[in-house]
Amino acid sequence: MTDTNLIFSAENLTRSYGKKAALAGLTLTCDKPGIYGLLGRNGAGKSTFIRILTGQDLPTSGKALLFDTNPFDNPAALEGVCIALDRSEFGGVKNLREWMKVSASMYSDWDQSAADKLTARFELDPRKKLRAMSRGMQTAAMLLIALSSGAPLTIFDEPSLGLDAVVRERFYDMLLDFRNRQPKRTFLLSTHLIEEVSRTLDYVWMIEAGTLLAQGTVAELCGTAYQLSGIGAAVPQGARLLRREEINGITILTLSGERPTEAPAGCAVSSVSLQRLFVMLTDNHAEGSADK
Amino acid sequence: MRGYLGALNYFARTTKRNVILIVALLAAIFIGMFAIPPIFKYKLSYNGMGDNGLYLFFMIWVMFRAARRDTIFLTSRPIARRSIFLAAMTEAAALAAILALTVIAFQNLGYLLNGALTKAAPQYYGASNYLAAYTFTPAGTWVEFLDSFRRFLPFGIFAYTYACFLTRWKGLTIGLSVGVPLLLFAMLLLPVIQNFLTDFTKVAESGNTASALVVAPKWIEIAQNVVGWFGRNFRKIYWTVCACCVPLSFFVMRTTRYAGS
Repeated sequence: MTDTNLIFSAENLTRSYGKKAALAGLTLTCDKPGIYGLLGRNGAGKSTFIRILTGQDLPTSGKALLFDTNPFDNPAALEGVCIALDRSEFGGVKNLREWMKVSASMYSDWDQSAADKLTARFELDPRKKLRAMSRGMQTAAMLLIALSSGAPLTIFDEPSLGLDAVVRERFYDMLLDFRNRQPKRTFLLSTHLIEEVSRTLDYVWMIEAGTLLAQGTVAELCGTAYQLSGIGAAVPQGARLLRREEINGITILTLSGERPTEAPAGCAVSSVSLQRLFVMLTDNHAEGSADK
Repeated sequence: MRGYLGALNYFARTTKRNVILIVALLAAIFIGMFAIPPIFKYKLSYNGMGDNGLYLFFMIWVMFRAARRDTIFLTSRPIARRSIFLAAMTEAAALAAILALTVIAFQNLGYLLNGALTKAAPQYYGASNYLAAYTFTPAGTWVEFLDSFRRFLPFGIFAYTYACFLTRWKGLTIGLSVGVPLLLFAMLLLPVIQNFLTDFTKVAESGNTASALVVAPKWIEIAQNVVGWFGRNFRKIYWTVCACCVPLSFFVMRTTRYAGS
């Protein structure tokens, strides 16, 4: 790792598989520790970006930087990264106990006491064979390794796969706890379960079809849109209609633009959740869409 | 360095279980070999456990897996490919040494046990143990160790290289590994058969059947010369190919996009 502030960045990054472009000019920068969300629909290019960022793949064009250096086959840069994958892949590792021992030699800031606490918190048996565990337990084991690694950049690719609601909430609480206790670490969550993670995120990148759609803090992003509802509600001047819906004779308009200080007569103004905004921005084919 | 140590730790842990397994398997064969003669009333013709087939198979299997399953796992951690490669090569050398030591251990143990049992029950034991007699000296043990190591290490590297190629270009590698030997065989043998048949027909038509017996060795001689050349230069070819495989396998695995990673 270098001493610069840049944690990672992508500059006009493209990656094509035959005629299909998984990334089509993605540009983003992360230069401050915190919890970041990489939000996108399935096939938006999240995992491709993570693979390039962690030196598992090469871009077709453009540049990806990790700690200000090219990550591909770069031991110094990759030593600062740990990933919790979105699939059950354990190689020749037999059980969680063995995985923790291997991880202790892989990551210089490995925290065994945190690993022990998380084992209890996730209710995992360290001697049970990883392949014999349920999908949820396997995911929990991967989250445990990633959180305990102490890696300056920790990536979670779809961290909630197979986890029940209780364990998911526990994970988000632990993530916030780790962020507070280890403020120099950066966590990147790649997910499409937006509503759940939104409370943990400091900054969000929304990507669609391999390009950056929107970025900002959750508050900033949610502040770019609002809902106007009422009988015969109309699009105010200066606002852009994202979606129109009719429910029991009430018109619900989702609009982008500055939120009015006062609601028009007979109408109510409400804020939009991050997930709602994400759906509005990415789903151009839904019923009631502005594009229809 | 951390990546290398982590990969090495991973390889050590996964291979340790398999080494224990192979030693247990060899011990079972060893015990069975010495226990069976009194049960079935026959005399053991013990000439050492000189067959290295099982060890070589194990070496190939471990290195084949190191190039595929283990590399996929380690690249997705993520660990730099050069660290994984160096760890895999270290594993190959360490495993070759462990297997060579295992060979020596079983050879000498067998020699001692056979000697003791020959005195105790000469009706069941007592065959000459010329292999172990040769190795059961400090110099012989070292020679045997180095000889076993020399055999295991290149086989491990060949297996690793082949697995790297197979992962990168599956169809092409399978095609070449089947097609090239077939082509060589056809190139070498078809003209030989064709010419032999032509000459044989000529001889047969001439009515002098005795000359047909002279024609056959002429073409077999060419094949013998080719095989002989390979035989005489085998060590040079073997070690040159082995030395080339090390950088080649690295360049192939470095640019492979692993499925799922």
